[in-house]
Amino acid sequence: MHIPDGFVAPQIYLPAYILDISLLAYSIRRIKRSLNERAIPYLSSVSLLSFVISSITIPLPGGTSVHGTGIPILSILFGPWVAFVSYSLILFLQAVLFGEGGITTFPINSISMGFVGSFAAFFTYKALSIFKEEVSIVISSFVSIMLSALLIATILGIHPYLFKKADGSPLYFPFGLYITIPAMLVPHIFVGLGEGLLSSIAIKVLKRRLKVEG
Amino acid sequence: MKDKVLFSFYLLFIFLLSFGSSLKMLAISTSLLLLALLVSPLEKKIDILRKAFYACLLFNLLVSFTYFLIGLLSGQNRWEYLVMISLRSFSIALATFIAFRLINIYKVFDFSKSVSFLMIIVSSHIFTYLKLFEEFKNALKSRTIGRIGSNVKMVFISRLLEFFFEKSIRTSEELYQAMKSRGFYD
Repeated sequence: MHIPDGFVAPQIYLPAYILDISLLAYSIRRIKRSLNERAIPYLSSVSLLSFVISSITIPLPGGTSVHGTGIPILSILFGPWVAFVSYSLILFLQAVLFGEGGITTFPINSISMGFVGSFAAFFTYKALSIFKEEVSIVISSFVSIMLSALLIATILGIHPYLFKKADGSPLYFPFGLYITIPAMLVPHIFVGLGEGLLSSIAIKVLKRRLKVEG
Repeated sequence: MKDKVLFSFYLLFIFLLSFGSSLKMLAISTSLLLLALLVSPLEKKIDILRKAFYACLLFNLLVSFTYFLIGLLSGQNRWEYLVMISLRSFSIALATFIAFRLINIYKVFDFSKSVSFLMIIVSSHIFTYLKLFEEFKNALKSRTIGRIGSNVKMVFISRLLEFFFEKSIRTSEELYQAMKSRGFYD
C-alpha cells in the first residue's frame, strides 16, 4: 500500500525529493549514455511492463493473495537503474493520474521501493548466483521487499518522535518505530514470498522468451 | 508557461497545507478547495470528490482511526488528531486531483524533451495495457466454471507475462521507428 499525502512532514519529504530527483537524473543520464537513441522507447516499454506486473495478484496458500511490485523482476532482467527509473515513473503517473500514493510521499515510495528495492534485489541475486536460480530469485525478491518495507517503516516511525505538538500529540504519522517496524515487516513476509513466487515464474518465462527472440 | 505557473502555485499550496496543523486553517483550506471545485469549469466534479475521498480512506482507517480508537480505549480523546490528519490528507488529495485536471503535466516537464516524451508515451499506453489486462482477466473468468484454481492462475500469469513482455519489446521497436521517422533525434 502506498502512503497517501498528509502523513509525512515537509522536513522529511523535501530532502527526499532532492535525493530522489538527483538519483533519477543520474539514472536517466546513465541509461541514455548506454542506450543512446533507444533509451526512451526502451524505458517506456519497461515502465509499461512494470505497470502490468504491479497489477498482477499472486495467490498465496490459505486463500489470500498479494499484489506484486515487479521490481525484482525488472531489476534482475534489465538492471537496477532501469528498474528504478521505470518504477518511479509509474509511481509518479499513478499519483497524478489515478491518485494512488501521494505527491508529497512520492520520493519516499520511489527511493524505498524503486531504488532500495531494485538494488537489493539485484545485488542479492548476484551474491546468490552459486545457488539454483529459482532459490536466488525467491530470496532476492524477499530481501528486496523486506528492505523496502523496513525503510518505509523507519521513515514513518520516526515522525512521532520528531514532529509533535507542545502537548505531545503527533502532527503527522502517529505510531512510533516499535509499532511501525513489526506492523510493516510481519505482513510483508507474505508479500515477499508472493513476490518471490511471481518473480521466479516471470523471470523463467521471460528469459526463455528472450532466448527465443535471440 | 501557464501550466508551469499553475504547477508552481500547486506545489506551494501543497507545501503550505502539509505544514498546517491548525484545524481552523485546514477547514478553511478544504472549504476553499470545495468552492473552487464547485465554480470551476471542470467536468465530473463528483468523480473528483469521490477519487480524493477514496485516495485517503483506507490508510486513514488503518492508521489514524486505529490511533483514535486506541486513544478511546486508554481514556484519551484524540478526535483533534483524527480530524486534522483527515482534513490535511483529503485537502492535499483534492488539490492534486483539481490541479492535474487543469494543468497539462507534459507541458510542465517540457524543459526536458526526453522526460516529457517518456511521460507522454507511458501515460498514453497505460490505458491500452489496462484495457488488455482487463480483457485477459474477463476471458479467464468467462471460460472457468466455479473458483479459479491456483494452478490455472499460475499458468494464466505466465501467459500474461509472456504476452505483455512481447508486446513491450514490439512497442519499444515501434516507438523507436516512429520517433526516428518524425525527426525526434535530429
